[in-house]
Amino acid sequence: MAGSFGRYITMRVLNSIIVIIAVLMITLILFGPMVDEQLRKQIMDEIKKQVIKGGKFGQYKSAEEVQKVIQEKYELRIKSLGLDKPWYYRIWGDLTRTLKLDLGRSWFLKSDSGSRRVVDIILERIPRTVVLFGTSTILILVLQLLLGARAAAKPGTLFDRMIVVAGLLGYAFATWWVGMVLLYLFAYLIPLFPTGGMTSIPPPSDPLGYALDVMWHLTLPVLAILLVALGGGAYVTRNLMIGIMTEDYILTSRAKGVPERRIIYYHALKMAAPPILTGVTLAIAGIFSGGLLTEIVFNWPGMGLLYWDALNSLDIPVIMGNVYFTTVLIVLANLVADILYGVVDPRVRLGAGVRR
Amino acid sequence: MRLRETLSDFWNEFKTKKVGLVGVLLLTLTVVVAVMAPVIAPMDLKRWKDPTYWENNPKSVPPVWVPYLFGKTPVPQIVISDFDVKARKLGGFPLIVATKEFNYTYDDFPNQVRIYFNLSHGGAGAFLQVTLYRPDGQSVTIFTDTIYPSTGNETYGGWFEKNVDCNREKKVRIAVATWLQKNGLNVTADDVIVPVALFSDMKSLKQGNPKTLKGVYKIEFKSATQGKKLELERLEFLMSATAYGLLGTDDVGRDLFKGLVWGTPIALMIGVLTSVISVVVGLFYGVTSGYIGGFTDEVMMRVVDILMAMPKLPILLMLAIVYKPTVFTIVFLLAIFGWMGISRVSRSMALQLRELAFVEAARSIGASRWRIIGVHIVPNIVPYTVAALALGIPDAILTEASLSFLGLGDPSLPTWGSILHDAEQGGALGSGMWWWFIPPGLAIAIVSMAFVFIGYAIDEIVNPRLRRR
Repeated sequence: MAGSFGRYITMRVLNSIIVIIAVLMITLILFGPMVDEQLRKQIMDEIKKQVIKGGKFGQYKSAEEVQKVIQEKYELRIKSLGLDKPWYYRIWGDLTRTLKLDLGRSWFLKSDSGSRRVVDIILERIPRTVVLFGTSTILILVLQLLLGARAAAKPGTLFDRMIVVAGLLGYAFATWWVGMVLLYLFAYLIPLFPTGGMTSIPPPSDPLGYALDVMWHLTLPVLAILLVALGGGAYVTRNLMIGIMTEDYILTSRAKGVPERRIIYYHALKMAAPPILTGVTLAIAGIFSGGLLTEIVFNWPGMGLLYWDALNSLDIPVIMGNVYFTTVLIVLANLVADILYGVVDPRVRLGAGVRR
Repeated sequence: MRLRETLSDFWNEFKTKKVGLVGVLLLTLTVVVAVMAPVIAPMDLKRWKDPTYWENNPKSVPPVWVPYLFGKTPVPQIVISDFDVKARKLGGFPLIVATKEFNYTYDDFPNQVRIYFNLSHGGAGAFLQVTLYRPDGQSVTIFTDTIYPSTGNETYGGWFEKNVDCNREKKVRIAVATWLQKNGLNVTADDVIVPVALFSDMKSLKQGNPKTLKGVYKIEFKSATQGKKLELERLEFLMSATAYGLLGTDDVGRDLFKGLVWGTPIALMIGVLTSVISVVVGLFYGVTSGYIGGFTDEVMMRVVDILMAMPKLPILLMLAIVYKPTVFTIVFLLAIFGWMGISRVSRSMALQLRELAFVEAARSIGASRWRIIGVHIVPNIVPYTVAALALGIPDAILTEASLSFLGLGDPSLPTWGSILHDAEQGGALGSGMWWWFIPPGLAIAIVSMAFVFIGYAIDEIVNPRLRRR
């Protein structure tokens, strides 16, 4: 019944599209008036410059006349851009423009290559954020499976209890603050790691040296994210595994004489995989937001630091663009997890209609 | 008395959960701090962000107990205000001379030196001069100023008030640099450190390793006028401490202990309010959706799906930029993104409950849909939401802290997140000011832990399915 799997995927994709459009609408509704205001000011300045500098000597008889000419030209421009009507008349145009990645120009910030186009500024930063976020997510996923399964193998032991406590503590600490403490301890107090950035200045020229340099800079931020998020993940895995270990077929396998290791790491973990993936789906947005703030602490030049920079100069177009791309990234990550979930869980694949 | 029995059973079981008891302990601690805040840390809460409120405090100094760890005695906050004031006439014109001797015996230099005066000159203007006489016989004229006759009305222009930060004031820097140059030191007004220069032994200063000159100093304030009246309303000479308060100060001199204490009630309020609103909204939304079922349920749950997939932080960030939030708007914004999880759980429970006999009985005697939801279903779900309520609190506290860390919190109040924002911007890490960024983060963690632990323990009791060993 591939049809129902197709339906499942269609629903997920549809959901993602609705989320992206909804966030875009919110962005436009919130910032539309501010952006229009700035645009009007810019046009006025431009026209004033044009009229005053470009005018021939004696062309205008009085200051009032100059003012009138400026006003006329201004109104003409405003009308041609549709700025004379409130922002919601243009929302459709703005929406389609944003979807086509035409995000306009920034007010203050520039990309590293010197471009003022918002798309350029953000596109430059996405890979850096993906490196940080991707590394941490993959590490969390792998380690949480191993740690959680190990804890579930012998519940009640010291190791197991440590996982439970670590899971609870993860809910109580802010990733970015843990980052601050790590940075203080291992970069300032004991200078083992760099105090910030993604590469040394200047970066090493050979590819291997560059990769090692990035990894060296990556260590502390990834560690901060791991310390906070890993406990929770391992805890969820452990709970699921303990539930599964009481199932009859595990007992059957034991009776058959399947080695305990194989039962835990193969039979049980396979069953636990789909709900774990759900857990990851839910955690992704959290890890991502935590990562964004951690970037600020570690001066990691990704999207999170871009929020900080844009907020400090109140560069609204950059903030709008950044929100848009953040949303797309989170939604995409969720979608991938959803599809994987469908692939590993036969109930979803075969359309038994489970609702999560 | 079923309720009472249930509660006492609950408590008996709760007592066996170590984690839960730790949570209760931590919660008690934070509540005590929150309630006692006006007593432990009295201050004008509205002026937390006002630098003039803190200007007499030493800047960027560690807690008082820190120097003792290194076997040093910190310089305390020294305020000299009981001057011997002598008023005389000089050629018919009033002249004031105020002097005071003090003993400086510390190994460290003061963090800053300030002169505060309020001089009433009747509008005729005045001349004033502040001199420091040192134990080695040298004297430094730190500050001279001319107050011009006021042209405005008497009541406004009749007095002159100033608080001079000696290390910032250009005049003082020039005067001190000139004095040092006369003593054969090669310094300019740009690189002189006034508190060090004034209190250092000249020989050691020349060697580039300044040590304090201990002994009796005398500070003298002189003022003369060409008018008829001259009165000194207030005069203070302040040498500020090298360590301050229980948790030190930040770069504008704010007492961080006060900030930490006052952050407690604010964080608790934000967390509890947000979580209560979220739980109530989520409970009713979920129950309604589950009980009505069908197409309504489908639509209502789709809304939840979509809201859950929304990136919380970026949207909150935009809302905070546009609506310059107060604490209460932040609570409202956080609650918007807090209720979906509970609504899902309550929906699935309502789905089960509506098939049960007592609900059917209620329906058969003609109870309305809303009565069934309100009287029969919701009360049965409430116990299960208590854990969610407790677990929602740390989430709200952490999210608010993140917003404040980005500089988007309530701009007037001392929240932990805003202290951490200032620490990040003020380079606390680079300058090693751990007292600025460690305590607020720990406080966030402790309050959050209290609720996480309690929520976990309740969850284990109420949802026996989760119980293991």
